[in-house]
Amino acid sequence: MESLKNEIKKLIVDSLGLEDLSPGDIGDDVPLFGDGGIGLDSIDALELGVALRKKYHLSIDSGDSGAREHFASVNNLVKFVQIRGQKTED
Amino acid sequence: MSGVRKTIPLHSLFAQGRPDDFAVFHDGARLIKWREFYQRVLRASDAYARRAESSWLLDGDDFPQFAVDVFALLYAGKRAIVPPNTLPGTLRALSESGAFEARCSEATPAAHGAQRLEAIDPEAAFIDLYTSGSTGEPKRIPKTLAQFETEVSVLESQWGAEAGAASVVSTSPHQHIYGLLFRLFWPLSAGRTFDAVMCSHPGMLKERLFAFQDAVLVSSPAQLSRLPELVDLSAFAPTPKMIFSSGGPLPGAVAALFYARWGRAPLEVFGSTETGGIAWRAQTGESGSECWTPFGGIDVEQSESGALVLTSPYLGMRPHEMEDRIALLPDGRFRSLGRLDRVAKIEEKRVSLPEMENRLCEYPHVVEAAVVPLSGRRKSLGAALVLDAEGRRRLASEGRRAVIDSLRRYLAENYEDVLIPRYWRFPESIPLNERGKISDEALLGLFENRDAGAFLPVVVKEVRDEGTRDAIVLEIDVRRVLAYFAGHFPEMAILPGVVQVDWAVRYAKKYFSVSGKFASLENVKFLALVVPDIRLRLTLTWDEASKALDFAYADARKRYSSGRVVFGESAPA
Repeated sequence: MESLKNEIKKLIVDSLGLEDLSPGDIGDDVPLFGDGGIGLDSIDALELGVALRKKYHLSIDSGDSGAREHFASVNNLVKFVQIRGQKTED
Repeated sequence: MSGVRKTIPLHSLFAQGRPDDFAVFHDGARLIKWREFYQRVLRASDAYARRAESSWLLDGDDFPQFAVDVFALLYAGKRAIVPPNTLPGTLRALSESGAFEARCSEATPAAHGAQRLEAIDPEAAFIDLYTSGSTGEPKRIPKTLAQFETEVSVLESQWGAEAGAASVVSTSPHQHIYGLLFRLFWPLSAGRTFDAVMCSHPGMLKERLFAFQDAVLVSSPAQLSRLPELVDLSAFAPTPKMIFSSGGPLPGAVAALFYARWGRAPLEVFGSTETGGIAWRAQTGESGSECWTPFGGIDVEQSESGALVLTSPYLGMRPHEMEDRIALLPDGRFRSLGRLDRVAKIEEKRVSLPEMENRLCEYPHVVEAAVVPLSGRRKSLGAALVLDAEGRRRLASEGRRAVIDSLRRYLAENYEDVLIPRYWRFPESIPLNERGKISDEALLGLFENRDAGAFLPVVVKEVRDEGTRDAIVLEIDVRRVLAYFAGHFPEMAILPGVVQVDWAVRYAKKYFSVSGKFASLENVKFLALVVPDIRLRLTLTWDEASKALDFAYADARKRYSSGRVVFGESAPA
């Protein structure tokens, strides 16, 4: 659980090329998008989707409007990955 | 299902009308039929007609409401103002510049009134769009309904037969010229149903395409280029009949992928807010398919400086020199070679670099600003800011994160998120090229080490002691992105001592004629931990006689480390 959390934080930093952010700077419940959070943009959302799909074989194409909610914070992503993902080798 | 489609010019659409059960659009919950749409436009138009204000800002994000309001305004003889985005700072600036007299969101619909809508004069019906000009101020682009009508008829004659009765599904917003034309004006005029829902993720797109069955897709390079990585394209059933893309060039490989999976290459439209559509292409992968073909009735020439010179019915047939560089081919087609001015496009959003620089200079403690487009993993902007003494003090005490966060929030008032610089540098001065001018090439040097995994700090200043040839002070930013901090958490992120010694030797070799082989390390002291995001002064002194390099890392408050590296006899060459 804790390690998945850290893994996802590292994935966010690495896959988006965020220069002034380290995994430890991302709070578990801090909003990833929009004001008052990490400040990721709409293109980051797409890129992050690609990275998650590659790493966990997540299908985010099920048409659920919950996508926005899954991507809201690290905690939400962790839940999402636990329910829907299949971990693969790096 | 829609019977015989009839194209009706927009200026008489509401006078001529369509059958009551014609499906105008789907709002996500249900189909809105002509009777209801007409009634909504009629009521709103009556309300606007009763008001004295003559220009109205379409300030809402809701597409169905936008569709009603834009026609209600025009048919009431009012000017419709379409903002470039609905960010608070943008709307405030438009308000202060007197761009509009009232906001649609504050209008009150009338309950009763006029019985019918009469045709209007398309030459006297105005819609104002805004775009980023090269001068810095957002530029107002007034358009007449007649111009849009001409463009709609060009699109219909080019692609109407192929599109047939297909509905229009989209991943693009409606508030710019491309969305306005392709999502609203063209379908409405040509009698096609449009989807008022914008598909914000691939799953939704798949669902909407399935729901409509026979559909064309209005999209953009940002969406299309990522779609194949997000979903399996071959799992789409049905696939769109035609794919439109505009806002920027689509990479050839992406277009070819759609061609392979969906059997058709996206139809790309080259144009701008000022000029409307100019040319199109379908990159099938065949050689030459990357060239643009002008639309019917449009003439493209190349000026001596290589600029595109356009003669278009949308611009009254007066030749118009653009800021796009092209190479014209003998057959009238052309290759696009980028912009001539300082306007950049980041993920289809046009941004004036001087405008952003001016805005940054208005921020407290910013003396000078330069913004440069960066390529790489994705296109983004880099900002280099020269700070005054107080600004530098804050950078040192509050750290990069805090300073950059507040700059980002400041820009977010006026800029869409993808335009906000992702990379920030705080040099002592803006680097100039050899002719003493600010140039992209000189600026790019500041951003060279930007990717995660970089091994060197950013040198923000170098001071050579005039008296001695062999001493130099470098001011360096130890950024968090450095590979040495990767994977660490803040409490553990420290710059290893061996790296500090390595940097000293590297820079010494760059600035002095250091020769010989590493022999020994003397008097090395690590006094304080070097943590991410601090600025240090690295002082290097080379003593040729004893082949010794003295180094010291310090900032205004304390020393971090110091020592001496001694080199032995020259290594064999």
